[in-house]
Amino acid sequence: MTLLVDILLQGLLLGGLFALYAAGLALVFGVMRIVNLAHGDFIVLAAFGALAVVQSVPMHPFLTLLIVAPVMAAAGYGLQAGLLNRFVGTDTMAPLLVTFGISIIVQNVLLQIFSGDTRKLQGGGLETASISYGDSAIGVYPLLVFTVAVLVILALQYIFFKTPIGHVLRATADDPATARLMGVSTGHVYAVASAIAFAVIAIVGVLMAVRTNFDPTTGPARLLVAFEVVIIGGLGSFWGAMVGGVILGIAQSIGARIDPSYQVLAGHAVFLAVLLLRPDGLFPRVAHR
Amino acid sequence: MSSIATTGLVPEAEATVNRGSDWTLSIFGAMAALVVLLALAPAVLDGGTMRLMIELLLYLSLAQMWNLLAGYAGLVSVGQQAFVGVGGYMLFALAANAGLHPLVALIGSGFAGAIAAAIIGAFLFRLRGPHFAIGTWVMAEICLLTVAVMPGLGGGSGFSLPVAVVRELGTDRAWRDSLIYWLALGLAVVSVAGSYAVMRSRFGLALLAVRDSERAAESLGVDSGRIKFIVYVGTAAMTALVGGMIFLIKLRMTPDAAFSVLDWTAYVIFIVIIGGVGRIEGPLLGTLIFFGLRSLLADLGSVYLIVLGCVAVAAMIWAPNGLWGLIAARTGLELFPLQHRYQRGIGAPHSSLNKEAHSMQDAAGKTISKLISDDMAGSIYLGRFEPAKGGTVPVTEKATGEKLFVAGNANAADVAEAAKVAKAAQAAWGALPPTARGDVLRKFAAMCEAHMPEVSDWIIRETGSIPPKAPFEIMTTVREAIEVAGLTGQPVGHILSSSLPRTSYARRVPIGVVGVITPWNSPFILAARVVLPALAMGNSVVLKPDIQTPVCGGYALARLFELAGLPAGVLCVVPGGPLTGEALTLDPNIHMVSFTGSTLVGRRVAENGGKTLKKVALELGGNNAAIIFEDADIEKATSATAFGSFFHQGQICFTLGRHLVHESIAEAYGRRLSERAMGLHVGDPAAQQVHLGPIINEKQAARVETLVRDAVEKGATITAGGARDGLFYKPTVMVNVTTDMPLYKEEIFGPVAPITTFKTEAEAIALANDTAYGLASSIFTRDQGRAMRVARQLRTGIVHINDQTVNHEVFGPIGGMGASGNGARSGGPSALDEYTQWQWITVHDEVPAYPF
Repeated sequence: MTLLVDILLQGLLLGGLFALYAAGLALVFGVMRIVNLAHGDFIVLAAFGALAVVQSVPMHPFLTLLIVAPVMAAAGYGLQAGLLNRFVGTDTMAPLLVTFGISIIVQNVLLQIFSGDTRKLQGGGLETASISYGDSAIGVYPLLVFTVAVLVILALQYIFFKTPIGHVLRATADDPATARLMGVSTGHVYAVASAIAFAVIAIVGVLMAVRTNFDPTTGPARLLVAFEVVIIGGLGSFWGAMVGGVILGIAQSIGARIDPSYQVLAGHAVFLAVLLLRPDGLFPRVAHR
Repeated sequence: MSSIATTGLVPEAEATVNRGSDWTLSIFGAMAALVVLLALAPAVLDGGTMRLMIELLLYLSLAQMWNLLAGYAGLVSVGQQAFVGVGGYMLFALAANAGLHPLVALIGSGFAGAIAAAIIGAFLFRLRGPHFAIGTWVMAEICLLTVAVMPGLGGGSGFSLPVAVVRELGTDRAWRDSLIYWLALGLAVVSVAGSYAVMRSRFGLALLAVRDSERAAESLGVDSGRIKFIVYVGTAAMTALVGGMIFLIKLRMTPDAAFSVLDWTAYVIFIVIIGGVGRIEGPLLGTLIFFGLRSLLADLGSVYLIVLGCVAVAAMIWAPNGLWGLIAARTGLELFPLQHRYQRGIGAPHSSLNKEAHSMQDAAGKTISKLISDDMAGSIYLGRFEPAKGGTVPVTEKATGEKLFVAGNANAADVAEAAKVAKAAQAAWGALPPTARGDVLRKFAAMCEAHMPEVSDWIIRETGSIPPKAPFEIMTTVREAIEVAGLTGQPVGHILSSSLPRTSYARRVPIGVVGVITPWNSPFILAARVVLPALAMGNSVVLKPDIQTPVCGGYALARLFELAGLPAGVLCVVPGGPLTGEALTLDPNIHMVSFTGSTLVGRRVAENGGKTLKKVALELGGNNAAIIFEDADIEKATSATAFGSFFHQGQICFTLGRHLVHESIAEAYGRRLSERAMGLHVGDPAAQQVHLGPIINEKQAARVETLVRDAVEKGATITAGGARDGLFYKPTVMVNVTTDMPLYKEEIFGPVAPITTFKTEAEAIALANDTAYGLASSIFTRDQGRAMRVARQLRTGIVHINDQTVNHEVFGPIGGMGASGNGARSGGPSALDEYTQWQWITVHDEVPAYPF
């Protein structure tokens, strides 16, 4: 019994990180209908950004977000406005191939600057602290990540449904032509959505860098997790990403108990099962019109 | 306009002539010779060069397969490494574990790839577009992880092929290399020739149809899911075969190497993008470039990959059809000619748009200056051409997507300035003697005739109009100008009766500044028919042509008026999109807005006009019906109605959008109309003789497709057309169209003729009036009495008896009722009422006495 609770709890907390991986991807797809194949590489880029800051001015990794988040958001705005906007609403191939090219570029630029060494940021003992209950213990750090995930999703939910820019974002996502008629500059709106997504990427990049090892080639694995989360959760809402993340987290945590080499495979198995049984995910997108 | 329909101005289309079979034969002869030469190469090449050649040939096969998958079937996969890996592992398992001969094991690799693809496809075909792509990557990862936990295949640490197995191919190393080289050459030839054979088959045509429009293909009975699945499994089998070959050479494999996304998918994608997606020549050229770049830059390691990634991204932006696409566009060269249904973009540039020519000769051989030159790029016109503050927008040739010009994109500041300039110029223009204004308009007519070839070219290329329509538009404008010039001498008011001893009279005075917003479908005439009467009545004009057609809709008019001697500032041109229109409709210096366009935007214009108290004249969409009674001549009626529905791709407000046919003749009518539709040719109007050009943009084309598709789902049947190739939509006839379908209720703005049947005259009238629109309608019957009776009961601004709805004539008051307009009329004497306002003046000799 305790074992079961333990596994579920570990999975739940792991799911927080996964949900954060997925939030940016879901946001970009929801508004622009573009799947960014470089999503995972940008998460790793943010992690290396934090590493570079810590190396030049020693500080707690979380403080680097004050620099990394705005820089990433600006990069996201620039990338969308300067490059990807021209592909919004076109066929699916062009944006896929362009972001795939960017993925290769980002990986190799990181490789060129930081070498292929495996890195990790030190969270000042935070990552090893734990709270014990009964016979087992849960890590303080996973709990923190989970809390951040809930907060980020609440914030996204608030931005999208309670603020003027959120209304514009949703209107543009639903019907860009009409939004333009109403005086919305859709190019700017897309770029803002991208900037928000990249700010989330910065947060998850730093959180990941403290939690696990990373090197320039670990981006695609993050992308695939984010993608599975989005498909499992469905494209309905940001909470879908949370639920998808938790399901994938629990699956991986069960797999890991059976045999450590089955951890990732178990996650994939759940993904395949969802694909087979509920291809639209657990929370399908509801048409607004 | 009706004269066009009957005098055969529309050209008989010529069959599209492909390159002669001699050309094709000599190309294939050269290729066969090349293959023979390559087959003899092992005799002269050293081992290192041989291995490089093998790798090149294998990459060519991989690229050709990915191209077939993504470029033709539209299945963008970033997980092809799954099949390379499966093929490699199957070869090792069969050769090393099961003891089969390596060549037999290789066949097993192919089968393994097909089976793996069938299983993976069963999952992934539930995902669409981008999700399919990323799903393939997940599947490849799953394959990798699965292999890594299988101890029989070496687990995570890898697996080597025993030397004894390799010896089975031959004991001599050079012989083994040659054998593998020939196998690789064979695979490459099979993949290139196989792709070509597939694309020339009926299956290939269906595949192209699915790529162009999955919905339309399905409407025509193509099972797109099945076709894509076959391509997916077929290319996977071939990819796995290549995978088997790769590891037969490498002799050792690990899960990471076998399922490497970089080696087996990223490189392949780069090859195809750089060479050209969706062309058989693309992977050939791409492979050569890829290996060339690699030999130059391979020592740089990750820098090489950065360069490669940048080249690929740049190619997607600036050369989406790859290098071969650029070559083909320049030279028209096709190594592998496919029987395209439409040939696009290969026509020679028309002489008068030639950038080098700054002047040209008119019909009499007199040299006249060109209207449009490059120094107008990015400008607005305020009496002279000035750079737009709002930036620039490229103007494309709609049939080819090629850039024709760069237009200024006016912002609110540009509009405000134009309005001020126009307001300042209006007083002097309005005060000129009417003969002086009439002279300018007559000179404008002369200028239009003199510059007809150049303006025609712009109309054809910028709007996708077929050539005969352009001179028609210009000649109608010429007549309009002459007619309106005559109006300047009309009486300008009335002497009124008065019960007091005074002179009382009413006089017409100009409204002031008239803002004119025009659409993209017939931009020249639709702007001229408003600008001309507005100017004639002494107003100045701020003209906003649609940003997709700013040259013939704006710049050309500005230049023609300039040559006609219109004082600077009386006509300003501010090309732009919705934001520009918004600024114009709200500008306090503009006193009237005349808008031609969609009902949706018309409401917005009226709303803004209401806020700022402007006079608003709206000429909006239509959903025009033709009633064909049982006594109509089907042969002649279908000729007229086919023109009404398909002329200018149905993108005219007068386009015939509903065919209401008496049930007794409906079948014969539908059959004849379908035959006529199928006989019409669609293509690039600047490059070949066609009846229909392109739809203006992808959004409109997709909208037409959606309406048709939706009607089919609700029970209508396509009897002609129903398919599109990019922007080229085939003239379409649909029967069993009912009143609940959006196809019936909405303005289609595409070449679609929906047929609905009726039983009685009363029902026909009710059906025709069953729309919010009320622009034009038409009645076909030999019974004139009935025709007049029905016409009186139709709620449309225009009714044509025994003619279709696309009619425009200078003398008629043109405009709609209901959602088609707000009472505005253009043409003939309506100009007097539209573009002037009344001033009442009384004159007493003595001030009258008052009791105050």
